[in-house]
Amino acid sequence: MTNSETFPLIDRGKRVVLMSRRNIIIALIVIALIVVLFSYGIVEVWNLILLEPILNLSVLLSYVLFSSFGLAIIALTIMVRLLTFPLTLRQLRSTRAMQSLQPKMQELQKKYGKDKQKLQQEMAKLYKESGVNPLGCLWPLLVQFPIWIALYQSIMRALAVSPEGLLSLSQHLYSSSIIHQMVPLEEDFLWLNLGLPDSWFILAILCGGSMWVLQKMSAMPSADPRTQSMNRTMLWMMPLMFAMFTFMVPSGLALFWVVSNIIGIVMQYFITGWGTLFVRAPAPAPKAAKVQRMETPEGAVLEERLATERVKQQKRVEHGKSGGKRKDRRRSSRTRSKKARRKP
Amino acid sequence: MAGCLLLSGCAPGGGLVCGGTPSGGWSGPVVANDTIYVGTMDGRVIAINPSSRIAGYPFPSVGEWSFSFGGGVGGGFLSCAPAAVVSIYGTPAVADGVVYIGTGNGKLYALDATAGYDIWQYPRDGYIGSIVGSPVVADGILYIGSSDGKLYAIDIETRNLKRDFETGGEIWGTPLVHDGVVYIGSADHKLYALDAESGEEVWDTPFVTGGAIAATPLIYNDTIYIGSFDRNFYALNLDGTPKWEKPFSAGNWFWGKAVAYGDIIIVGCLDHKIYALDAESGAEAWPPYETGGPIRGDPVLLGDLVIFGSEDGKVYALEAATGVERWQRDLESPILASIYAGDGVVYVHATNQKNYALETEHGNVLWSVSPSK
Repeated sequence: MTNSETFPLIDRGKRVVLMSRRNIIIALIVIALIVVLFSYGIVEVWNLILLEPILNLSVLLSYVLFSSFGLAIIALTIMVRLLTFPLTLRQLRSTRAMQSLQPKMQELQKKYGKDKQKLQQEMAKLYKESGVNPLGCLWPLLVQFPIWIALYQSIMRALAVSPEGLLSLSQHLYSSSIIHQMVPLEEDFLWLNLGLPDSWFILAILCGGSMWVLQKMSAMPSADPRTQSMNRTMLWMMPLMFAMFTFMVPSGLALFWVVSNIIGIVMQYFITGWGTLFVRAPAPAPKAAKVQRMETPEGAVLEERLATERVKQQKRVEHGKSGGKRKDRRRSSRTRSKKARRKP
Repeated sequence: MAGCLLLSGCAPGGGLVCGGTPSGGWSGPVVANDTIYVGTMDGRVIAINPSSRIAGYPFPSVGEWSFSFGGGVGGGFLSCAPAAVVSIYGTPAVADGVVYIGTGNGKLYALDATAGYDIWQYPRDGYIGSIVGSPVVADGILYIGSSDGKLYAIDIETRNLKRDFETGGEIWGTPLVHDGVVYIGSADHKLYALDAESGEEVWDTPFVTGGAIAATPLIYNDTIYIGSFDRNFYALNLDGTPKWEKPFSAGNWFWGKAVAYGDIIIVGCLDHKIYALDAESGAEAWPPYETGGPIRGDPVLLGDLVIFGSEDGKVYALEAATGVERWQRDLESPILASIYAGDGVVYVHATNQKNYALETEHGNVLWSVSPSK
């Protein structure tokens, strides 16, 4: 039996839900994890499997890296980013594949918008034909989530900004004299006290700026005006939000965000290039509708015709029929810009 | 990343608050002139009159007061900026009708013991580093360690700094003054011995351990006993040389001060155990007694009992000579503060912000109070 072979799971009349061998294995692993979590306690298992290994590694790294916890945060973030790179890659590819199907999906929605069952069937067919798994970009993300949360928590715990934090830290350290001798960790790094928020705005600028660049690079052009509008909002809102957070959280955590963003930018560059970083943001919604018309072959033809008509009309105006110079110039420039926009 | 950040708040054992644990302090009680003085977790020092508590009057009653260091609600969502609530970790020191207490935001206060008003502060303007240890008064000088790495010696009469001594790390312990020498441990792994008069180091070099020192030393029979974050407990001669062949090793850090009962040194450890060691050799005098949580505070002796609190929320009383359990009382709230025992009563400040008085025969609660603002 091959991997692609499927097993009927639920038979509901005509609809048969199929599961591949891989999905069955994943489901079994998930069930086993849930059983373990509830048998031993969620917190204990979480600490044992994720939090404590990362926490102790961070302390150990600060020992190796000249007793600098700042360098340890950077190294740890790089290590985790590299470890999760295959998942990131898979997620990016799946996202791209899904994005490439968007025009076809919209066509299907237009065509079968009213018949939802048919729409679903056609969409499933499209996914199958193009070899795209709609959940393909989701599971790498889900697998990465716990790792990032544990990394985040371990940094917060290792910083131990209060005596209670230090007391709590003592319960999560491995029995190694190297690790115990490092506590409390050296909090001074460059101009920062890693246990306190950065009051110099530098991390806020770096965090917000790097996040904006990363988001701009990874943004997928969308034909949907609503998606465009949302993308535009998120492009600014998220970096601003995180820049604001840097004034409230220990700078060690903000440092982790900055490093993570920068690594993300490097990875994104090698996977997709600069993406849409140097592409101007699409025009506001009414104009976007015009652009949208151009993106379909029919729309492009229509635009071409309209432009030709405008040129003809302008020529008539230039030959002295009507209109002032100012108006003519404006029309002329609009036509030129249309032509320019049509260029690939 | 945004998702990670938001999910972190829901993740087990986590939370978006710094270090995953809200800050609040672990001030222990002290009794002077029939009044109990203790720092609260909401940034106050209170005076409790045991008679009023037995009578069941509302707090504050006759002979009781509350002094607030200001502040409102704590750091809040995501915030790790210094919380608005002033944390108090040290146990107040009382001398000549004045209560001295250091605060987590780096200020030392002298309060009137009878009425609870603010007499003076050090520094008058601004702050020093966060104060985690307790103040000590000896020969008209008040000693206090700070997280800025300095040990401050303040002249009580002039209220001015007499001198300070800088170490290489945070000072979280309480200084010990003995025969004109001030002993203080630091997070730079060293135990210092300073001449109280001149402030000069008494030993050629400080005693170095393998980890930070947050514990307060005990001097007993001309021997200094102190534990460290390297999980070792040391015995030193007064000249700073090791007394035992090798230090006693435990499973986690030592944060509390030891007590001496006969030839036995008893000390609590963050590995959940209390150890009894032979004062001369460091060998175990009786098997370690295990509790359900770390033992951070100092144990106390009352008669033939050693009494201590644990983070498992229980107060334990053991026979100091044998380690046999006499009683245990579950207060259902972690106990991080040192406890006080005197006149047949044990006073405990638990993290549920309640202060308890227990009788020593069976550990029954005589009264408890949760002083409201």
